[in-house]
Amino acid sequence: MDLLESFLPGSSELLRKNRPTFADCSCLFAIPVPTAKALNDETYYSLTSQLSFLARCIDILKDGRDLRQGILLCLPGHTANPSILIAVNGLTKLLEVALSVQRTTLSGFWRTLDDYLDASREQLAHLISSARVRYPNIGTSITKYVDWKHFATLGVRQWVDDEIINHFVEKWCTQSRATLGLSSFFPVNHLFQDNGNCSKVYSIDQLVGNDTLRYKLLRWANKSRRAQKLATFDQVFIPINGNRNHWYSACIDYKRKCINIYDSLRDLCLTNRCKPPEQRKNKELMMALMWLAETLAVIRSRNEVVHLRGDLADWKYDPHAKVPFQPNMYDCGVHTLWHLRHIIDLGFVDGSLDATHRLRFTDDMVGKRLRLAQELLNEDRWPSRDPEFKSDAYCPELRCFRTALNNIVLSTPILVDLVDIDAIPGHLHSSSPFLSTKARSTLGMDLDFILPGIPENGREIDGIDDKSELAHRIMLTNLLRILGAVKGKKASRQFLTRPTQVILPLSPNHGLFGNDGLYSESKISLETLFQRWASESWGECLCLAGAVIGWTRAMARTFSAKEMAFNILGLMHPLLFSITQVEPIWADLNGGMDRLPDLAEITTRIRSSLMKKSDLRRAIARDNAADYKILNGVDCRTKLSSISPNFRGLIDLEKVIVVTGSGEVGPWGSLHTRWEMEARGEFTIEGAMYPHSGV
Amino acid sequence: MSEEEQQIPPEDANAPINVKVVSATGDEVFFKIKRSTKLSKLQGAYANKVGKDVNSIRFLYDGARISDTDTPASLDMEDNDTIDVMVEQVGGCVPCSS
Repeated sequence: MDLLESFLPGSSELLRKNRPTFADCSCLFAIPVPTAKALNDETYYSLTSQLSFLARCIDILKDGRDLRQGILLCLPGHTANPSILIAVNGLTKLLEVALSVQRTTLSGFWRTLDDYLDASREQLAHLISSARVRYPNIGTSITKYVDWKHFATLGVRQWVDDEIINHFVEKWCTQSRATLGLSSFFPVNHLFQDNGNCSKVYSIDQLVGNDTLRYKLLRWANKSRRAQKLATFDQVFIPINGNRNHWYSACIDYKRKCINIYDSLRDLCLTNRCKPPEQRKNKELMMALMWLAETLAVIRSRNEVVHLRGDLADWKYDPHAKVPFQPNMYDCGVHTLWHLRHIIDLGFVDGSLDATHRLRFTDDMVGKRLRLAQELLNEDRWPSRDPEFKSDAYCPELRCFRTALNNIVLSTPILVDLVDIDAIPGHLHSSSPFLSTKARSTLGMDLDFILPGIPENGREIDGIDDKSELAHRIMLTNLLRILGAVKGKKASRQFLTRPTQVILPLSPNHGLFGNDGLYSESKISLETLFQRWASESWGECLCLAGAVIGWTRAMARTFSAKEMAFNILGLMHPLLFSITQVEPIWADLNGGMDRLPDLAEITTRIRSSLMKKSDLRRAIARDNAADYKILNGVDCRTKLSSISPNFRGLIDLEKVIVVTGSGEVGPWGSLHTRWEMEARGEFTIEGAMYPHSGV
Repeated sequence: MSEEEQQIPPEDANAPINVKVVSATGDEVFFKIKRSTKLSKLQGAYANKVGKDVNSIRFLYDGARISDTDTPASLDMEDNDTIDVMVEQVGGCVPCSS
């Protein structure tokens, strides 16, 4: 519910109410549909982003629906808890409302696009030209096969290409679960015999008399059926690219028992209809399709035998089914896709839809093009389709994993700068997308775990330098600060039921090894947190698990780094997580090495024996090099070495940058500007104005 | 016996197979390719050989598109299998001549 509240402010209050009304719910989602006058850049983008947000809400609410079934199953075994039922029923209601709002908004939006062609034409041209900038998370290719070049063929008056057609045919048919969509290359391989021109069909004698064609067909169709995860299918849709310049389609419908060829070209159809049946253009193709229908019937259902050419045939054939015509020379590809849309949604192509129907054909299909283009851009691509979540494209440190319920985002900020530390919880926590764009720039997430850690070694007590100091500051002072900042954010939003678990990296190494700078000091100091958890007031926002990490890197180690990572992961298990909410956990994962007496001596011995070995190897290598020189001549080598020693360690002071203080410096500037880039994809003046203490 | 069975897969995985690439016009080009080699390499080599931009042609194996990360092993290809090459298609509508 917190998750929902963070998306939809006000929703949790609503859910506590018994029987929320439709009006109560729908005000949460209200999206104004722009009219033609207002259909400009800004309204279009705000509308599309709100729609994608709505889709996200619906996804979350659908999870809630599954939850409801689970709860209802459990209820008989427990004493009923009405407050849960109220909340769960509220969730269901919310989902219904969200779906109906989505439906009405979409159909209103689409109608606007269809009604005001000029406005949508402008919008489409703009979308095609600026999509790359608008969706910087997409990269060089939009889907596996569709890249920007293919995307551009959806533009105003462009000829649509095969990648677009095949993408939508496959996608829509996979969703429909009753229509088998074949690729546009299928007819090239199986029905036509003229090298990809698709104008000369195999004659029926060739098809029937040739077993290789049949075998090839079955192998192919089995594969596409598996690819689209269809157990069985009622229709087969085949896009055909005739003569290399015209898209049309054919549909075999086993339920209605008909085969139709859909062609949006007016002249062709009208002249053809005047001819006697045996001279009509598509007669040959229809014969081939009949053969196809018979053959595919074998894989459609193992028991059904379809005879089309015999007397039994009660099938209907229409080589020029009635469809709306295209009054132009560029829209046939979009028409073809729309034929498929009709077939999936209505069962057949219906040209007589009234003006308010969302599927009706228009003279210029520019509104459809815009919808297709937007659908392509909103594609559910890894890891997230929401434009707000585009951060991962920018930086390798912020990796997203899509899980069943939600996204896990792993982020590694560097805790150096005080300004940045204060900003991080603010960046992560969410706000409503219905607020202004600036307020929306956060990532919309809650922190679940904090895992601090930094290496530090090689310094004795007389060699404590800036690096030790920095590490100490990060590990102790700033760790405490970020905990404080997280607590502040959570408390102010009253996220009291969702504590963040902090895995404290403790160490048994309290000066046992030596040579560790201020490492041991910061580790020991962290242990005070266990007492403070009980004595101070942040217990309900944060819970602690101390992991006493053993030796994973040194030459004598108790666990490998991977094993230790697994151990730490164990601390995040829900079971242990629930324990930490009651009291902090102290987990000793070091493998008992701190119990050894004379640990430093033992490790020094091991280290020195290894060093001896490496010295020996180095000496042998040096010897070999000397041999090599003598054997292969030494002239050029000696020349070089006579010059180079003088230059060793020399630097050009004019080109040296002297860094004072500490802070993160990276390709995006400081941590603050990096966050901006990750969260929004652009710098702001406010970001640049922040004091960058590091540089 | 069990040892013999274990030895077969590594040999198989490295054994090169012959692949026939057939264009729409029926021209055939033969390639010998390791089962673990990415087919994107073969696509590039073929496009080079016939002098076409690799983006303007589509490679299909059993009717399914071959993507850049596929290998003969991932597609379960066998020796002497055929890859079909298709030319890109566009359509707007110039009336068919026939």
